[in-house]
Amino acid sequence: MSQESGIRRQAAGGKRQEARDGNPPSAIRHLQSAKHSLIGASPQRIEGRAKVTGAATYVDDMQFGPNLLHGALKRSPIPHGLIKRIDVSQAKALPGVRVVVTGQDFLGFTGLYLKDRRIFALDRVRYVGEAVAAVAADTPEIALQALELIEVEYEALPGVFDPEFGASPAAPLVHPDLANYECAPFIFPQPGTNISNWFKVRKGDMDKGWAEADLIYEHKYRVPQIQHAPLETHVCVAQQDAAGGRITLWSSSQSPFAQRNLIAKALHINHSRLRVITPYVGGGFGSKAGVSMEGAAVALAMHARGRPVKLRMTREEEFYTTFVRQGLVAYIKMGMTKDGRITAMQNRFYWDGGASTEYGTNITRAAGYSGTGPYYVPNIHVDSICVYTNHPVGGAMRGFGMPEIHWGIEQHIDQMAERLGLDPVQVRLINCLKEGDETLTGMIMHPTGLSQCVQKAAAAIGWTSPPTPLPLRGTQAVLRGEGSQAPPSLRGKGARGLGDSAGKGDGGSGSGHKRRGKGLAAMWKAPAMPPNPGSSATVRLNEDGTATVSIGGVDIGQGALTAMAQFAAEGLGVKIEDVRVNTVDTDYSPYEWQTVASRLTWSMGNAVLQAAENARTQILQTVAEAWGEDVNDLDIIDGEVVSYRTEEARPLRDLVIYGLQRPDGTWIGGPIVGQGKFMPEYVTPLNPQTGQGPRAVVHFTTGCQAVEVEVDEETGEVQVLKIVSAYDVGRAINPDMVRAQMEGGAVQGMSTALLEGIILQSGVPKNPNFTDYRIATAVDAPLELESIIVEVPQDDGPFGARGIGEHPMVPTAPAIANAVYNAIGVRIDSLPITSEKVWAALQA
Amino acid sequence: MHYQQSSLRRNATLQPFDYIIPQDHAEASALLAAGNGASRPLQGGTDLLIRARGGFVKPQQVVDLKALPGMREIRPGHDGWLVIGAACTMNQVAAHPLVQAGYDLLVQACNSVASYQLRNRATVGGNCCNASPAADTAPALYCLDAVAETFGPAGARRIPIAQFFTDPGKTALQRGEFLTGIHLPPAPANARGVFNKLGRTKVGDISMVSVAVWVDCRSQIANRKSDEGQALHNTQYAIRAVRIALGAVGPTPLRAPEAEAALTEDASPAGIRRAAQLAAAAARPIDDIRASAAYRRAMVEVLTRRGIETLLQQVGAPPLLPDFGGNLMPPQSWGDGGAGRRCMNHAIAFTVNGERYTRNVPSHHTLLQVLREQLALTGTKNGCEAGECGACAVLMRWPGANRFEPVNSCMVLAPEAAGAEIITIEGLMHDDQLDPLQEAFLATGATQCGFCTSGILVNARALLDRNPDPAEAEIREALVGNLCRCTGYVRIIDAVKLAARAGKEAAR
Repeated sequence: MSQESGIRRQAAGGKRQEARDGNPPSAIRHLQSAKHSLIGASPQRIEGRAKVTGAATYVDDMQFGPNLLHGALKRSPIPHGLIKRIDVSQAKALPGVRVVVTGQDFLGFTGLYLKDRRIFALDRVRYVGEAVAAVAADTPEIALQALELIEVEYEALPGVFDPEFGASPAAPLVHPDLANYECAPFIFPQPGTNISNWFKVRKGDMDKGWAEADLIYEHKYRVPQIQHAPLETHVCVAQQDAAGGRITLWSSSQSPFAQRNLIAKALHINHSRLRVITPYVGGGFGSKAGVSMEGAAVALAMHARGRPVKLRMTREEEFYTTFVRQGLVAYIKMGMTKDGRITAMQNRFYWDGGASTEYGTNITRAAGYSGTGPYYVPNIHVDSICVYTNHPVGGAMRGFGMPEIHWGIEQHIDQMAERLGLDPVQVRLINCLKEGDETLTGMIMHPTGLSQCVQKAAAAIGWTSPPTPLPLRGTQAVLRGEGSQAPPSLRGKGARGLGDSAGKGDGGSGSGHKRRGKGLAAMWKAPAMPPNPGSSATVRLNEDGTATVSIGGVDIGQGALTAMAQFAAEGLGVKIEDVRVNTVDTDYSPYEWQTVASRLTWSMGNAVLQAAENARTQILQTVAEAWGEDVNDLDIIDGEVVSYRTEEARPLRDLVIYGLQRPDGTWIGGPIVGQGKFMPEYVTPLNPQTGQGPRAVVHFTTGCQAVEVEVDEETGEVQVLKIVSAYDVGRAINPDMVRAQMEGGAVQGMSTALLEGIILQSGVPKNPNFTDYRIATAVDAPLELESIIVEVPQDDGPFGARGIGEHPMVPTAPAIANAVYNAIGVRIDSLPITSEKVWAALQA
Repeated sequence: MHYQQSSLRRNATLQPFDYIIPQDHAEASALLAAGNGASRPLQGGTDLLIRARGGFVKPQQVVDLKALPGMREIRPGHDGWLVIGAACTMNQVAAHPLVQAGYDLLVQACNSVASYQLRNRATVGGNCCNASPAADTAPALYCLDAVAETFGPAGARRIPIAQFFTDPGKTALQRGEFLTGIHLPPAPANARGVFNKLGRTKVGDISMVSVAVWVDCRSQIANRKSDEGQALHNTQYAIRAVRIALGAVGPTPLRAPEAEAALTEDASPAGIRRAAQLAAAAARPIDDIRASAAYRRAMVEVLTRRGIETLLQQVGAPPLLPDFGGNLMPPQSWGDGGAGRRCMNHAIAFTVNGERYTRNVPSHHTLLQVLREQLALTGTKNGCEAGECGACAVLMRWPGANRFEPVNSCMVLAPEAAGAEIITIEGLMHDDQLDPLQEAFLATGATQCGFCTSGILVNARALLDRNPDPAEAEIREALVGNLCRCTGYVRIIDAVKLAARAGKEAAR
C-alpha cells in the first residue's frame, strides 16, 4: 500500500466515523498493514477452540438415537483360499440381528486406479482379515455374537508372502482374473502374473553410463508394510432413507467425493442418490483416502429399512484391514565418477502391494517417475513393479512411495560417497536437480530450492566434512569392471571409527558405550494423482458481512480450514475472524477430488482464492455502478468497501445480500456468491515403454533433513537428538503450520525409522495393536527439532505455494540410517532400525 | 499347502458379564471357585479387560476384589515386614513413604510400567497374577524375597514369590484362591536396588529384557568410601548379599544365583563382568515378536553389568531419605457396590464435571462408554480400548481420595465408577474461561487433528496439579501414555511448559 493511498484511506475512515457510532474504523487500525497481510502470517487454527474444548464433533461422536444399528464384519482367518460355503442362517436367526449380507449380495468391483476389489469377498479370500460377510444388529454385543454364528468353509491355497517371489513365474496367482479388471489408462497390469502395474523408465545409454563411472555399486534395501495409525480409527455411519431413495454416509474420510464416486459406481446408483458427510477427522495420513470399509456400511444400510448402521474399526482391525503402507524390496545400482557425478542408475522396485492394489498401482507409478530421487542422472533404467501378495491391502500413506524409495536411494548416495572418499553433502549438491535440468521422465525441472535446503540443513546440524579424506580402502575392488559388491573391508567394523571422530570433532559426548553421528538425506515428491484432479470452492457472503467458504477438501489436522480462511480473507478483503470454512457435505460442498498428495493448499487454495476474488469483483462492480465510480478506485479492506477517489466507505453488511440503492431509488446487486475452480491442464501422458513425456507431474516439492543420533553400542538403542528439516514450500501461507507439518512429519518419520513394521508370519499379522506395534511417544521424540522454510515460488501456486504435508517424513529414515552409520559404522538396510538389528550388526 | 486357522484377535466390545463385589474373603473365594474359568478376579483390570476384549478369556462374572479388607492398604506387618495389599495401584505403591524408605527397587519397577494414568489402575498384585514373564514388578519382588499371601477355600497361605510364578500366565493359585497381599521382609539399612529394562520405545513398553539387582553392604564401607573418595568398585568393600533377578527371559522371572555368588565373591570390574556373564547364562529366553533369544541373552549381560555398576556407585552415598512430601497416594475406597450385586446392570451414582448423575449401567460397559453413550460427553475419545493411547483419559476421584488422578476410561468398568467424581475435557473450562492449558495449546499450535487432544489436556492438567513446575523430562514421561500421530509432541510439550509458566505467574 502506498503512503498516499494510506492517507486517503485514513481520511475516508475519518469521514465515515462521523456517520457511524464512534467505533474506530478498522481501516485506520490496519493502516500499516501491507497487502497480503494474511499470507505469510500465522493466524491460529480456526477450529482450534472446538478441538481443545472437546466440542469438535467426529463421526463416532454423532448421535443417531436408539435406532442405530451396529455393524461388524466377518473376516477371513486365512491369507489365501477359496470360499466353498457360507452359511448365515444361524446368524440371521439370532434375536437382535437385523441384516446379514455376503458377497453374493454385491457382485460389483471397486477401486480407484484398478478395479480389483469387492466390498465382500465372493469366491476367494486373499488376505487375513478380508471381509466375507457383514451383520448389523441392535447392539455391538449381538453383532459380534452373530459373527461367531456365520459358518465359512475355505479351501486353503498356497500364498504369496514376498513381492520378489510374487513377481516370479513360480508364484501362485492371487488374481487369476487380472486380465478382466478395468484400470486407469496409465496403469499397466501384466495378466497371467501377480504384477498389477509395471512402470518403466528407459533413458540415455546405460552402457555409456556404466563406462563413464569410476565406481559402480549395487545394494538391496527393504521396507516392511507399516500402518498409518491415526488416533481415530476408520468409522462411518450409513443410512438409506425409509423410502429407499437416498443414502447418506457420514464418514471419517479424506475423500468424501471419491467415496461417493466409487461407492455409487460399485452399487450402480446415481451419484446424486449418495450423500457423503465428513465432519472433523481424527487423522488420516493417507489411510482414509479412497474407500476401504465404507462400502460395507452402505451395503448393510441398503438392507436396514431406514435404520442407520455404524461401522467402526477397532484398533486391531485398523492395523490390517483398512489400508497399510506397501512394503518394498529395492535394488539400487549406481555409477559415479571420482568427482562425485552420477553417471547411471538402474533401480528395480518390487512392491508388496498386498491383496488389492486398486490404490497401490499408482503409488508404484509415482515411485517409477520419481525413481532416481531428486538427482540429475543422464542414463536411467527404472522398473517399478507392483506385486500382489496375500498381505494386507496397500494404500496411500504420507509420502506415497517416496519414503520407501528414498530409504534406499539416500543411503546409496552415502555409500557411494564413502567409497569414493567424498563428502555426501557435496555429492548431493553436485547431483541434485536444479532449474532447467531434465528429470528422469524428460520433464524440465522448475525453479527449486533443493540445493538451498541441503546447504541449510547441513549447516544447521553442524555438518563438517570428514576431517581427513577417507582412504579409498579396497576401492579397486569396487571400481568399474570389478563387480558391484562392496569388499568386506568396507562393511561393518571395517568402516567403524567415523562416529568417534565426528563425535570428538563436534564436542559430542561419544563417552563410554555411546557414540554420536550425523546423517542427512534429500528428497523430492510430486503430487501423485491423475493428470486432471479438480478443485472448486464457493465464497458466500452473509447478512452481517461475514463470509462462508465451502470446499470439498478435508482438514485432517494439517490446517486446511485455516489456510483456506486465509486465502478467502485475503482474496475478499475481510478479517480472518469473519471467515467460516465448512466441513464437507457432498450435497452442499463443491467438488474436490481428494485430500491427498499434499495438494490442497496449492489446488484447493487456487480455487478458494479465485472464488474470493470473484466475490470481491461482484461486490466492487455493484458498488461501482451504484456509486458511479470506476472499479479500479474501489477496494475492500477489513470488511469495508472503500473508494480511493471519493473517500466514501461502506461495510459489507450493508450491501452483500440486499444490494445497494441507486440515487434514483432502485436497487442493484443481490446475494453475493463467488465461485472458483482449479484443475491442472498441462500434465502429459508418458510413453509406456520409456516413461518419457514432456510433463509427468505438476511440480515437485523438494527438501532435506539432517539428523544427529546417539547410539548405545552395547544395546543398539538409537536416540535421535536432533532433526533439522528444510523444505522449499514455494510460499509459506501459514509459516507456523508449515513448521508444525515439518515437526510432525519428522517425528512420524523417526517413528517409522526406529520402531514400525507390521510383523506378518505367513500372512498373519502378529502385532496389530499399540502394545506391540509401537509408535513414538513423547519420550521418544527428539530433544530438538528445527524447521527451515525455503521459498522458491511455484508459478501456478496461490501466492507461489506448494504442498508440504507429506514431505517431512520422506527422508527421515535414511537420514537416521546414515547418522547411525556415521556413529558406529554399521549400515542397516532394512526398516525398522531396531535396537536388536543395530546390536546384531555390531556383532557381525 | 495347509494353513493353520489363525485366531483373529478382535479387541472388540466386551460381552455381557456380572460384576460382583463380594462381602468378604470367603464369599470372594466361593464366587471364584464356583465360576471356575468363567469367574475372573478384578483388581486393576488392565490385563483382564484387554484379554476379555481379545476373546482370550470369556468371563461370565467379574469379582471385584478391591473392596475386601486390606486389599488397598499398605501397612507395616510384624517384625519389620511391610504388607502391600494386592489391589494397591502401582502409583500408590511407588509413592508410599514406607515403600520409598526401604524398597526403592520396587518403586523403580512400578514406575517403569506403561504410563502414569495406567499405573493409576494397574496393581502390583495383578501384575503378579497375570504372570507374564515380562511383569516388571516381578524381578524387583524376586530380589526383595517377597512372599505372596493368598486366600482360598483352604484359608490363607503364604507362597514365596519365586514359587508363585509357575509358567507363562500361570501361578500357584488354585481354584477359588486369590492373591491378597505381597509381604516384603525388613529392608536392611544399606540395601539398594536398581531396576533396568529394555523396551522398543524408551519408556513404558513391555520389557524385552529386565534386570533387577539388589545389594546389601556394610555401613562402614559406605562411610569410608565417601570420606576417602575412593574408586567405588573396589573389591575390598565386600558386599554382604547380592540378588539378581531377570525378567522376560524365561517362562517365569528368574533369579541368577551363580551370578549373585560370583559378585559377592568379587566385585572388581572383572568380577562384575563375570557376574553379568553368569546372569546371561542363567537366562532361558525365547524368540518372539519383541526380540530374539540371542539379543535377550546378550542384553541380560549388559543390563546386569550396568545395574551392578550403578549400585556400586551409589553405595557410597548417604541412604535415601524417604520422601513424606505432598506426593502421597492415599488408599482409595471403592464404590458402595452392594447395591448392584449379582445383576447385569447397576444403578450407580457419580459426578461428572460437577453434575450429579444416577444411571443404570451394564456391568460390562466401560466408563468410556457411559460418558460417550449415556451422557453424550463425546469429547473423551476412543482410540484403542487397550489403555495404550490415552485418548480416553479422564480425571477421577474416588470417595476418600484427596485429589483427582488421570485414568484411561476404557480401563474402568462402569460399575467401578460408583461414587466417583469425574472431570472430562468438557469440565476443563471454568466459567466459560479456557483453562490455561487450553489457551497454551491454542497459542503453541499443539492441536492438529484434535483426536488425542482431550486426553492429553486432562492428563497434563493432572500433571500440573501435582507438580506445578515440571521439568521437560517430567512432562514427557507424564505424557508417555498419550499417543499423538500429528504433532511430533514438541508443541504439546511447549504448551505444558507455557501453561506452567502462566500458572506460576498467576500464583505470584
